[in-house]
Amino acid sequence: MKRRDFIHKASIGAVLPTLFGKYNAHTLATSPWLNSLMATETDHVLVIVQMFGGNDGLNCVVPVDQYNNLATARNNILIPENKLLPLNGISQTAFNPAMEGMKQLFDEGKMHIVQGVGYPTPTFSHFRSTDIWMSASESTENIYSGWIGRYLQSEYPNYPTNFPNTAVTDPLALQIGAQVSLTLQGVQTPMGMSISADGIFYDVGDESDLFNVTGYAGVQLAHIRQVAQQTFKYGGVIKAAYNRGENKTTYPTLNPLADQLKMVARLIKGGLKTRVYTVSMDGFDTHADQILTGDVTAGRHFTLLTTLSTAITAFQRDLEQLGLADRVLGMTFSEFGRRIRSNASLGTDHGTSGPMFLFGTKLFGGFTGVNPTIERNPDISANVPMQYDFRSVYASVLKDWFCVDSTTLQTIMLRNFQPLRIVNSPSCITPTLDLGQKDAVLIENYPNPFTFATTINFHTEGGHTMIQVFDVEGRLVATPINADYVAGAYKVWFNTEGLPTGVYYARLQNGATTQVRAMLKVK
Amino acid sequence: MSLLPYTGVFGKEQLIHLLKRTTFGAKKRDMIAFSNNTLTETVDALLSPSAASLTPLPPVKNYYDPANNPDSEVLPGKTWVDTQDNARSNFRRSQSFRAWWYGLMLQQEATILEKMTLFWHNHFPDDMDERSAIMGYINNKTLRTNALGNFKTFVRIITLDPMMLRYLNGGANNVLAPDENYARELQELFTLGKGPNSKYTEDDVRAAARVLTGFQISPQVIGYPFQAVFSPTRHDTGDKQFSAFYNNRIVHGQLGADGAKELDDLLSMIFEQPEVSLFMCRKLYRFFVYYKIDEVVERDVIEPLALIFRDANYELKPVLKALFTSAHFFDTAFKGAIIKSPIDYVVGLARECAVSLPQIDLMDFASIQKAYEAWLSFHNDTNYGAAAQRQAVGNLPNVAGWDAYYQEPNYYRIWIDSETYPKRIKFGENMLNDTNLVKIDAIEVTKQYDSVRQITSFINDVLMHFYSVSASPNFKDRLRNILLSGQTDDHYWTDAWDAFVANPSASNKSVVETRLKAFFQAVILRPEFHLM
Repeated sequence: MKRRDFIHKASIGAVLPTLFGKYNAHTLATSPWLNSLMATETDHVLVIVQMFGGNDGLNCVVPVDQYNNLATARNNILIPENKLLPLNGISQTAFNPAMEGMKQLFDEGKMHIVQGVGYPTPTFSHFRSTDIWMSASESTENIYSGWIGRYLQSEYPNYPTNFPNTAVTDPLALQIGAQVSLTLQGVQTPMGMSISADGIFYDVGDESDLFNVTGYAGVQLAHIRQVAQQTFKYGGVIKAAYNRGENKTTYPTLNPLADQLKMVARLIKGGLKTRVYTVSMDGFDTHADQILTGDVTAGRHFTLLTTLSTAITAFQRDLEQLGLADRVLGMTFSEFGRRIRSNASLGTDHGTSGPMFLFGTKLFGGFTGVNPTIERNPDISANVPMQYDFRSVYASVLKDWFCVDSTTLQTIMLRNFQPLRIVNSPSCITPTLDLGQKDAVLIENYPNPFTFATTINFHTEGGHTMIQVFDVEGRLVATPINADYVAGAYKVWFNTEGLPTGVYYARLQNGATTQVRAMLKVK
Repeated sequence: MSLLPYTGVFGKEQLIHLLKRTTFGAKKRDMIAFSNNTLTETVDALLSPSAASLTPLPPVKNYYDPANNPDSEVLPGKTWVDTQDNARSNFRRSQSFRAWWYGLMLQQEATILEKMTLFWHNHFPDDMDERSAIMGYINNKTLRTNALGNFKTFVRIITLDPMMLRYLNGGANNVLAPDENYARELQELFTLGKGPNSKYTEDDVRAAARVLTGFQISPQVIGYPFQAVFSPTRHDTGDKQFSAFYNNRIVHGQLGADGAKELDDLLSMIFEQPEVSLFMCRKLYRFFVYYKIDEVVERDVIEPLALIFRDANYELKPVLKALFTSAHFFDTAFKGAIIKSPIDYVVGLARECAVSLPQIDLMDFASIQKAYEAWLSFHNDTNYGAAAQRQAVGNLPNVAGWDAYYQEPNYYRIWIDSETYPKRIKFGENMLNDTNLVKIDAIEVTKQYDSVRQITSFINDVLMHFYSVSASPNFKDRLRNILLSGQTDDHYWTDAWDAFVANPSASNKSVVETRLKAFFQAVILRPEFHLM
């Protein structure tokens, strides 16, 4: 039984009053011992890799079955089909030639790719979109805490008061080589701290005779004092873990991401009980020179993907040799994908959805979702349609990797998101129902093209079923279906009066299953 | 509602607040120079940089490495800014540029120019390392000469700045495939912002990108710097329709060289939006006053400032003057409410401690090398300089600038975390302990205070100068203990100082110096010193 369950059960029965009778709720809540008891016991580690700038997913996980249409849309940057890296047992999708290591991980079943990940009504601003991904908010709302911050807060509600303590000696989350990102921000306080990637730790003395400063200056001063003390408090355990730890593989040099991941592996090996590590690399904003003039297989994006792939592969191999592979799950994200059409500066402009990579030994290898459908001659503003909300991926990781129960999950994620079948770890009790991706057509519309209205036919396995309609830029224009259904076939009449002509995507979501149907409105 | 002027006492405390916010640290020399001035006189002086500071001599070649990297086009000690761009030498030149810039900040006059130049560097970011040190220098010249000028003119100039044309792909933007990068950030980050009333659309981004098609960076020819040129064949000559936010304005397509004039139509249209003045006043406010802008601050400070800005046709000086002479700016609530940026910390520390810097003799290459190395030590990773503390000039994290100036909810607090704080401490420690190229001389710091013989006044004067918040009685006691080595009579300190002044022998010097070193270490390495 998990410790959290014990507390939950204990609080229902008669144990509580006798055991805790003389304490009020406040003392209970601030007791480090109880805090540690509240938290789920796990040795699982999550490593989040941020790819800042907006990664061009179509040049990364290439939809070979769409190659002809892709060739008309992005002829000047498209990698020749025979240069792409084929994937074991997969004919319709291939990798960019820079991703040799990641291809091997995929072939070994150590990589899971979720296709077409995005969110409704996307923004094209790097900063807003990064905030949305880190906070796990709707694009229409501003949330000033991060999804991991809220997760850790659900586990350690009183942090940072009385931390570290005898039960929790180590940082809850670490950002390597950059400031603590919004991802790790709790509702009141950052739930993580940051360290350099170069292994330098400092001893910083703290001072206790603190003078109470109030007002705005007091807010700032309290923060600096907290960091000063934390640095001092956690410096020792981090340094000790670093000294105890080791790396067993050679990491690529001149690769900042590899430096960061190398540090992560070493700290885990050294016994640091930190649950979440965040690392990052930037440069994915490839408006120009995505490829080298005259050589589509070289250039900025190729270099970026080489950096990414060699770093992740070295890290995974290191974990395997260190005997840590079953404890660590990796996940990448980028604030958006890029347009389907390339521009004339040999680059691509800001887009919407893209693939997410998850890596490790405890996952189901392969794909969730299908290749995006590329239209014959897509509009300059056309985007990869969304298949999965990124928050469904987060929810899956929290639920199946960190065993977060459904009620808490909804609190952390702010809404209900259907988990996907990604993590293959039996430690959490309820496995996700395996619906998988159906070959059968689950959603279609007639007539198509249409001028005024169309009827959407869909099939549900039962339970919550949703149909969202997006325009080519990913803006949510309608949600014709959003309710619980008994398994079966249904239809809904979709009136498009007032909408401009063009391509629309109807996205069906039923459990882990989604299907996207392209619909064309004409004059 | 107009902005209320400050009518209270303009004394030492207010002067320190004003100087810490508008220059790097409150330099004692400047405090003395302004001590008899009124607030208006002081602010007028702060807003009047000399011609020499607006157009300083350019950076020079401070490196000489014939075996590995000769950069033989430039003689040692001569400037490289007007030579051919050279990828092999770009890193050396970039470091030369950075050293030069730090030299200007460290040796700044008592004006707001250096702070404003940094403000604009954050507002119009660049990434010199991947591009060109020559462009970095041209860009800096633009920021510097327009820092206190007309914002609308400034935006036009920066739009065609070679670094900006490269950084945000404006130079690649053409009729066949408009590149939206600059058109988006022009609106989102440079002029209108993303406030609730900034309602330009995605279609506006596209239309603006079309307006901006055709500008390119001229190929570099010896003797001619990089500059923008307009290629009519790359320009989209169609009409550009804007949204209701811009009153459905159409920027009419122009043929031939006239296509370049559409830029002015676009900027006029953008600058007709009051949101520009509001956004910029919020940005200045967050840089100079505090990050929190609630309804009251918006109504009582931002809106009046924005009105001044619009009435002055986007001249910057009237806005800055109104802000720095306002009652709001001197509200004690804002004292100490800003966490110093790394540059504020490292440069301010040097200036408040009156460190001596190596002087340059342009005929003596060794002196140039030494001075540039000293200046660069304030930036370099290896010295735990500002770059190690996550503020690297010429290499901003991204096009929005440093997130301490925009990222909710933490703002300035982002500067300080468990990675950067130890580096700040290390930088201060090294400077105090003679391990840096530029050293703090505890005795020279002390000589700044007339009250040095009276221990209580001395402690109070130092803390008033170095801290923007109160220090605890316990801490003051500890400082007293350091100077008195635990004794209780104040005169032990007075006697020791007097003995040193009368006869600065090695032993007399060491008595005061060891104590003063520990004293300033205690003051500087505390969290309070990071506030201003």
